[in-house]
Amino acid sequence: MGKLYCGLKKNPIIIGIIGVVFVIGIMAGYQYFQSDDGIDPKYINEDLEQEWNVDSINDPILLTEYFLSGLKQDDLDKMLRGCAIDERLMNVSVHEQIRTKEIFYTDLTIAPSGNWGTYNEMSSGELTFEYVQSIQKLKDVFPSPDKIKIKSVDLANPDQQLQMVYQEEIQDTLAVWGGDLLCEVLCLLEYEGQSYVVGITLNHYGDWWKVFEIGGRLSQTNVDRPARQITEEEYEELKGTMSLKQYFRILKKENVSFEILLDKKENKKNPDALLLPPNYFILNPLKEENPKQTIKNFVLNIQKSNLCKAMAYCMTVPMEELDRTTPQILEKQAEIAKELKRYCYDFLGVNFRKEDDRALQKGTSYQRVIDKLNPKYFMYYDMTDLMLVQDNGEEQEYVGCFYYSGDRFLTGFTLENNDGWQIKSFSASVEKLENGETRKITESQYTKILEKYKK
Amino acid sequence: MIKLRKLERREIEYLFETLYLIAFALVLITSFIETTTFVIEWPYNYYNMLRVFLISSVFLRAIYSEAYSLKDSLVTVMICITFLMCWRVTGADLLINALLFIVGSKGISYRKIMKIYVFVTGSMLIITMTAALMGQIENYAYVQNGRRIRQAFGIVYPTDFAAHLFFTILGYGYLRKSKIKYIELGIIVLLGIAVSYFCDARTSMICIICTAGALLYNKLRVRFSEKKGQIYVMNPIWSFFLAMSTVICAAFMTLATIFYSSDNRISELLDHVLSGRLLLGKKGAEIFGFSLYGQYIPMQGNGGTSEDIVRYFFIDSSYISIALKYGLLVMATVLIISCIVGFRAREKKEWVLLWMLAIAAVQCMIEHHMIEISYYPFFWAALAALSGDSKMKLCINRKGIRWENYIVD
Repeated sequence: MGKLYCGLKKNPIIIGIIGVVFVIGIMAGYQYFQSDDGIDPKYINEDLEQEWNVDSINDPILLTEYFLSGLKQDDLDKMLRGCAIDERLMNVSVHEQIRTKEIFYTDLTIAPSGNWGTYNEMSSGELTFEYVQSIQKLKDVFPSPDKIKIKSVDLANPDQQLQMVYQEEIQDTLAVWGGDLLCEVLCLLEYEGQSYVVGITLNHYGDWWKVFEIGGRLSQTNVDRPARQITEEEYEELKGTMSLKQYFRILKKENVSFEILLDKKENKKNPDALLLPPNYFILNPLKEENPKQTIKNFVLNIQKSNLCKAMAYCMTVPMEELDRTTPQILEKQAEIAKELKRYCYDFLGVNFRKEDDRALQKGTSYQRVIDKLNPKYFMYYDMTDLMLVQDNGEEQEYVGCFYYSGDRFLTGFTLENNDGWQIKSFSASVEKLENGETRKITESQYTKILEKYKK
Repeated sequence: MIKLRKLERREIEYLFETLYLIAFALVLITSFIETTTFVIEWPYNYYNMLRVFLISSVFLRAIYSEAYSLKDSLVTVMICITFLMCWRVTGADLLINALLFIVGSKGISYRKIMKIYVFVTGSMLIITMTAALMGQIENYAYVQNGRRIRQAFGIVYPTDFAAHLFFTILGYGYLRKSKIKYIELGIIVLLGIAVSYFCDARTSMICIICTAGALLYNKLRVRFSEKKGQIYVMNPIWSFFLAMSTVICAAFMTLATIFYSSDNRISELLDHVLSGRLLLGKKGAEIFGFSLYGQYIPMQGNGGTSEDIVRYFFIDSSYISIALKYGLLVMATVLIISCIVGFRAREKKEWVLLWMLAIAAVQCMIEHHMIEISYYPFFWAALAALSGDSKMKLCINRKGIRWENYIVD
């Protein structure tokens, strides 16, 4: 000890260095315990775990056959993997959408994930369920899909698709959703002795095709009525006489720059055996022991622009039900995505309802609306107070006071205890706060709320 | 006929030292102007040329300097690695300037460096104030609820003006030491009061008045010791704490920030006293986290504009700000440098420097100027020649040019 003391007395800077290590240690320790606890907000279930055996499909007919084989096998996961979920959300131009429709409201379109990757999961949630709904409508026409026989898959009236009028019409769609080329295909199916036509619109991105929409104008089908009964003669008329190769050869002459690789017959892959990479996700239900902690973590993840983790705190579907991808799970995720979108748009100042019939406000440009949605502003959204307003045992309601951009807001949270607290909805019946509503309040209203609820 | 002779090595060293000090002064002036509302169209590539000049002077000195001791070499290498790595990751140019200033000060009399610093910043403050009061440049004035009108006198923000004044006074106090007169102390106190009245800069006011108090105390202790025929030696335990002041303040601020909770009354009270700095620091730590080499953190404060800032996020505490923006390695290096300066000052019995370091450490808990070269002048003392160090100086007189040995005062 004496030697140690003498050593330290001779070199007191050692004590200084110990002090520095202590300070840095506190910061590093805080970072270690505070940082993402390693829990992934996304859950890989049995369907998502399946390994894919083809990276992409660059043959529109093969892709359509792949999609239909998923329908026959009643494999929702397989079908979704053939849909343009990622492609649409990454290429979406909300600016173009507002420009073409000359109106903006919150539910008009998905979040601007084409501008900022922060919104990816939010958009993916909505888009995935859109496809699920279309697939469901298709399944309603074919309740026993294993009885489907695929008789033929062809281009829908290539002559008409090559016409300038048609190509001009699809430009708006491409401007909004990205992609190189929209192409409608026809599928002749036999089901329980009847012939049906299913129209599918495909979009070409980069080196591959994906299902853009179930339904096609040329087949006189649409999202709400994706299949209809047809005779073989009518089908032949719809099909036209041009072959696929001719069609793409003409397109290439028109300086379409991408390559369409059409599989030679002898190399044609079996669509039943193919599986594309996954392009949707399942939320991992996150919970906290303390309801206030759940809300605080939810808000913190919004501030950190980690919307996926924020959404995970709202996933009230039990873990046991997540093993297979079902429409109910994806519906719940879409609901969470929409509510969160409304919640965020509200405090960012751009939450408009369709019934408000709010065209763009005078003097507001499209770009200004989109600029307000920049997720860099999320970090300025601060929760100043959180108060319990109703306690029903396993369900509690809270109101949170927030401060953003000089304004005060009030939001409700309803939480439920599912072996840990989760957010059931962004509402509080006590203050008549609707689902997803973020209400702007004045300073005096804020003071009254504090007096009312803060103990 | 003029006879040219071959320059001696030490004459060349002196020449390079002078070149470095010129580069130092130019960079300091430029950095100072960046904190003002002067709008200057610098010549094309001006910043690059200035940095090249500074780098060249540092390298030339390094090549021709006396040998680096093992300790100095280790310190220099540590500073270079951490600052350069952080600069590459974050792109923060001020780290390069700070690095060059620290490494470039090796072996130069700290007193000389401080004279240049006080002269430059003092002159620039007077010029800036005059220009602002005469309407030549913007004189921002801020009106905030419950506070008097705060003027910035040509600097981007009132507290930044007060901080400039504070650090200049610290430098001046270091230069004068126990020779400072009572009237000078009185002027310092008046400046502190003026800063409070015109800028409502409470931290700087308190720190300026504490500086006057520390200088007065030191003066009286030296005088009393001299009367007894002794040399004043500060209490070793107290001098130890002053040397460790930066680390102590960093530890306090880190703990207070990390353990801040709005549900804790003491925490809330402390945060109220520190004007919300704990809340903002905690928010920064939660959202961005501490990293090894630093990261970009968007900071929006009230300075440099007359518009209302609706989305405010600014981490004022130097310790939290440096740790978040420049990383834990730079933070560790900065604290070690502060310890080196503190313990070197203690060893060389530079009691005034110890006081100045401690008061600056407290000020840096509240304000964010620690790593800014136009404000904080103490890092350069890590490798510079402190009091009691032997130096050579060039003497030119009728007899010719010769070198003389002298002890740094």
